[in-house]
Amino acid sequence: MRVIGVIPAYNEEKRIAAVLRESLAYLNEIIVVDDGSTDETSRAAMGTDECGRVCVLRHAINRNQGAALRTGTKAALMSGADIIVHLDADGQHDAKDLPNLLQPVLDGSTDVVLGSRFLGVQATGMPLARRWLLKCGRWFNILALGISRQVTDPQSGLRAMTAEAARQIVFHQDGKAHASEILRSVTRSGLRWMEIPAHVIYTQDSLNKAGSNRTSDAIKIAWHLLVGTFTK
Amino acid sequence: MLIQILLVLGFVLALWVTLKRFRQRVISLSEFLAWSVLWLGGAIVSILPKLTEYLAAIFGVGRGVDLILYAAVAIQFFLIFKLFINLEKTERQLTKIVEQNALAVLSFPRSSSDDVGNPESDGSSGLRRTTPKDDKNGDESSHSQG
Repeated sequence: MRVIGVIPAYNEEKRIAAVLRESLAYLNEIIVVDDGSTDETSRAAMGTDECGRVCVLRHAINRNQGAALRTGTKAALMSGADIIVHLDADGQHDAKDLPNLLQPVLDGSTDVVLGSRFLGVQATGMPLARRWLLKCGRWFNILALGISRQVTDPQSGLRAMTAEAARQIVFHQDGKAHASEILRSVTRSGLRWMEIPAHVIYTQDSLNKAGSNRTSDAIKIAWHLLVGTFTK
Repeated sequence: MLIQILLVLGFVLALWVTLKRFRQRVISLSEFLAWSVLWLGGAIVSILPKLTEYLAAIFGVGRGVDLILYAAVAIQFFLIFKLFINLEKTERQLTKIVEQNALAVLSFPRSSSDDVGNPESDGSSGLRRTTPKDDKNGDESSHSQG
């Protein structure tokens, strides 16, 4: 089984090397999609490629996380991945969760595994406002998008899927709304899916980078999903 | 009245530009018809303002000018929304080009299967970026660093 990780990265020169080193312990290869970074993200990622297991692709201009994830997923499929893992580049995901994330896909019991911050494992440093915003996002997903109520985390960036599932999952959104699109596609396409508890670590650094105004992000996500509904 | 003449001239000009754009195949037939109806309606209302009073009575609006304002606001909302949708389409096309550009520098020699979670196993991947010399699809340097 060939397991390829896909990491979209934008201005992550300080964090990407550590994420790659930790994740490579559990993945065969990693595709980093540098989404038009203005810093040395590409160089930092290539610097960790000691065994030829890291491939860095670069978007000429910044197209946002969803677009970078789509590029990386296509690259992974083109290279013959059996299992694809999506990870964030900012170090929020704990690489130690990867074996649990991969196991149900490896043993063939499910097609997609989603990491969730709301299944008993306390996220480290998650602001209360964000917790409530995510809860609201979950209800938005349920009521507006028809996503299953069983999904507990509406914006998780940690997921593993078979190559066949990755081909079936269609998402067009370039921005953060891609997470909701993926959830909708997964839960309404007949794919077998499950959530596992995921430990997420918020540091001041990652919170600063993500920006403080998450409410405007939520409004943007809802707006993009609405406009996306009318776009071919 | 002068205002009527100016308005009619404005609408005729708009109609002429619309026809020109249709002939240049910039807009589709349905778009041409929709815009033409709008400009012609404006011209007719400018020539026969009493007509708006009649229409306002039909729609239950107090004054003719109110009806025009309501209709204008509704049409503007629709056009703004359409602009957003067109912008989204353009954004997606742009993303597609960026994506193709990024993927073009890859070559994919397939490798034998590796053991998951065993980085000491043959780490040689099937996934390789082409070197600058090999890259015939684009300028490698433009993908390496920002």
